[in-house]
Amino acid sequence: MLRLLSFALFIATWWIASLLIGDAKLPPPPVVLAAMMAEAKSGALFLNLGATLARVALAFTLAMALGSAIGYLMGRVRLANRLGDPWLILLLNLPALVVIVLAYIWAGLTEVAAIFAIAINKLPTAVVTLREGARALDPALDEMATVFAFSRGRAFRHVVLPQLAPYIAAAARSGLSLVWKIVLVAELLGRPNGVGFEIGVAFQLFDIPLLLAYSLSFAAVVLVIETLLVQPFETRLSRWRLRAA
Amino acid sequence: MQLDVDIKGKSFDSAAGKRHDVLDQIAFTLNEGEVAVMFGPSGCGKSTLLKILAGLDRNYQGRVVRPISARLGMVFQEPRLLPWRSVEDNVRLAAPNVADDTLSTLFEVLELGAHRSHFPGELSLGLARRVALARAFAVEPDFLILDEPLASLDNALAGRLRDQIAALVANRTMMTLLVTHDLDEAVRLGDRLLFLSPRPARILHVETIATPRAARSEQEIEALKSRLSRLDLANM
Repeated sequence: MLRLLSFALFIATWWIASLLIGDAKLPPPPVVLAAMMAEAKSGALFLNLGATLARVALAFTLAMALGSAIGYLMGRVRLANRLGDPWLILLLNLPALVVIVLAYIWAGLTEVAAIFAIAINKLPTAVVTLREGARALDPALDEMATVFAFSRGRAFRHVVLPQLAPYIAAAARSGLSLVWKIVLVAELLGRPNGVGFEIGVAFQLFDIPLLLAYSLSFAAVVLVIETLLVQPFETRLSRWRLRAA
Repeated sequence: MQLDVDIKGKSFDSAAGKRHDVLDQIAFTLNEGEVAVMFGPSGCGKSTLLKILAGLDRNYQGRVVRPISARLGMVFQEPRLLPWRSVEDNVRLAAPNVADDTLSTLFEVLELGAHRSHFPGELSLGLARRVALARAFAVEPDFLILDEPLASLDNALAGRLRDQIAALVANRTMMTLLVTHDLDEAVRLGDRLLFLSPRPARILHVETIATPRAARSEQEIEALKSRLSRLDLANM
């Protein structure tokens, strides 16, 4: 209920603002909705959203899997940390644009280059978060697992993984928002479809209703995924905490 | 099956680079069916000794011979349960082969039946200790280590839990090592009492109690306690 109210407030503010500024710069909600419907009818909206989502999913999975493994290793093994640390600092501070442009130059304007570039941008934050998680592992529980002769798999699944879960969730949460942002830049610069590409086109044609139609559809998809996928997952992971409170 | 302990010394370097001797010479053997009690002041190195005996610390001089096939059960000073697993899962993860009725009996003896599906965070310290005890007994150990299992519980609760431990220990033939700084607990649960010195720990005095655990009268226990508390351990 409160969510609906806040959504209505957003629409109202938008409408009033468009009346004040003028249609040319900020079209009112019905115009944008019409543009959205037109794109949906032609199928372009779903095609582009789908292309963007697929890139997000691939880049996110790649970066999370690789980043978690590297982060865990760096948190547990001192040598790995010493070797990896300079690279990590370099990657953390490398602007997204540099990675994307270089990837397109070296690997061509290909899908692989785009996904790889997006993943590289997210990778270091996942590594840093998981490294902290691995450093915070409780040695007392490790000892318990050793005394009771837990197998490696059993110890990892029941002792280590639950301790890392909040860190994995944090990395996923911050990583997903980062990927949502960077994927559009990568599409704008070198893909022939996707939300980023369409926004680029709309910008060149100064087609503001189209621009807003794509931006808002994209925002809606992000919102739906966050509420239906990410949040329930986080709640499930921390249910033992909730009940203990 | 027996445990041979012959430790020549154990020290570690502090963060400041200073050498600390934790253990001096400690030698004893522990036989099947016997309960040895380590009795010593706080901070004398008992927990370090237990870590060595449990195989968690291999960095010491001397040797500890434990039969390879011996299953180890341990109750740590803190319960060390997995907070994200239920009481029953905590026990089953440590003892995957435990039979359902063994587990039920164990939960019944320790009065945990109503708490099977609770998470450790929902339990009091006394209950969490019992879960840790259930876990150690569920593996059907050949070598059981109890590190101050009754510390920081009130007297009534400690007394009840002590009787439960006595019953469980009597039920199974194994080597049992109990650490405590409560003389009453030591005299009631132990067959052989090892008195340890302050750091670096060495064995000051060994007291063997001839009467079987179950047959000791209150009078006998009181007499033992008053005799042992008069021991001038500082000058041995």
